Amino acid sequence: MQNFNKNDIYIVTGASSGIGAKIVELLNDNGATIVAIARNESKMIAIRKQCSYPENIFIEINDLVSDITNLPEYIKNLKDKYGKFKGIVHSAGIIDFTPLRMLDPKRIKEVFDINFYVPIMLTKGFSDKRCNVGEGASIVFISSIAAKTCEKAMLAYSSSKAALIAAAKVISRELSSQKIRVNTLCPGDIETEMTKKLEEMRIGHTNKYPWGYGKTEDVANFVMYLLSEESRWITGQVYTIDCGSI
Amino acid sequence: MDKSEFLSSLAEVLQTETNIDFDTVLNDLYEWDSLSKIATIAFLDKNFNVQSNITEINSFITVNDIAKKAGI
Ligand SMILES: NC(=O)c1ccc[n+]([C@@H]2O[C@H](COP(=O)([O-])OP(=O)(O)OC[C@H]3O[C@@H](n4cnc5c(N)ncnc54)[C@H](OP(=O)(O)O)[C@@H]3O)[C@@H](O)[C@H]2O)c1
Repeated sequence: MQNFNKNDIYIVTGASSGIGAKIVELLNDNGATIVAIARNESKMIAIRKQCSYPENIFIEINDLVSDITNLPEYIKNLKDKYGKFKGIVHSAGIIDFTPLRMLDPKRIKEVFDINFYVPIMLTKGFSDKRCNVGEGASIVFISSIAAKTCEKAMLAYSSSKAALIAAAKVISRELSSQKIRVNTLCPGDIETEMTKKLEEMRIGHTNKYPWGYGKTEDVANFVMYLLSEESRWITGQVYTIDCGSI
Repeated sequence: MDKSEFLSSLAEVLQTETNIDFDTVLNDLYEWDSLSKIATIAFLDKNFNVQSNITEINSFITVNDIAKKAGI
């Protein structure tokens, strides 16, 4: 069981739904303070209401793609408002099904904006030593097994998630002298809003999960470990959570 | 998009050399495979702001069913 306290402040993106919402819930249950970022305010308020210590959740409504260049400054402003951060979890993302023949640079960029550029620019802000607590700080990227399975019609999504894996490794090396840990998770299909879309588009992908789809807590529990001191010797890693499907 | 533009755009999406018309039966087209179906979903979304899914696309019999969905 990981122990966090109120002074441990974590940023979670994609906090209004699915995996991000579950991470907010578990961090909150375990005593941490969370700055929860998403666009949908009413969903965020509903999630906060259901949590054990709603007073430790601070909602920041932001369309993260609206000004990507200034995201480092945004993190600095959040630091001024809440204090130095102990960690950040990047769960905001979108899925996309567009075969090569229908792809154009605009669509690829839309997918990369939220799945790649946003987490990188947020991390740029977070990694500024004036914004984080230094030793013990932890960054978790949520990539996907799509980066490895590379199914048809998932060029933009799979590539964005593969790019994230490479970037996270580089960042882990750059931040190692600051003792900030950087790890990446690659979940298989987890039951969320996103997988509903996946189901609607599924083209003959067989169900590859012997124990059925994953649950959000299957990813969130791993995230909790990676944020905690218990994983203090773990950085620069990529973990697949997929019920052994690949 | 008028009717003939629709047909020529759809031919691009399906990348077919067959002359398609509104009563062309989709399953008669060699190119009507899973990837073409996903491409058709993207085509409907991008050009007509219409959402669809694989189950619905699989229920379409002729080109006209796609046109109706697009509002053509
Ligand atoms: N579900 C899966 O099977 C699965 C598998 C592998 C990897 N993943 C990855 O895990 C992460 C979470 O997935 P999920 O299934 O939990 O997805 P989800 O339920 O669709 O939630 C996506 C989250 O991203 C936020 N978001 C999207 N665009 C945003 C924007 N422009 N600005 C701010 N927030 C934005 C959404 O919040 P608002 O709409 O409120 O802004 C929402 O909270 C994603 O990165 C996804 O690629 C998911």
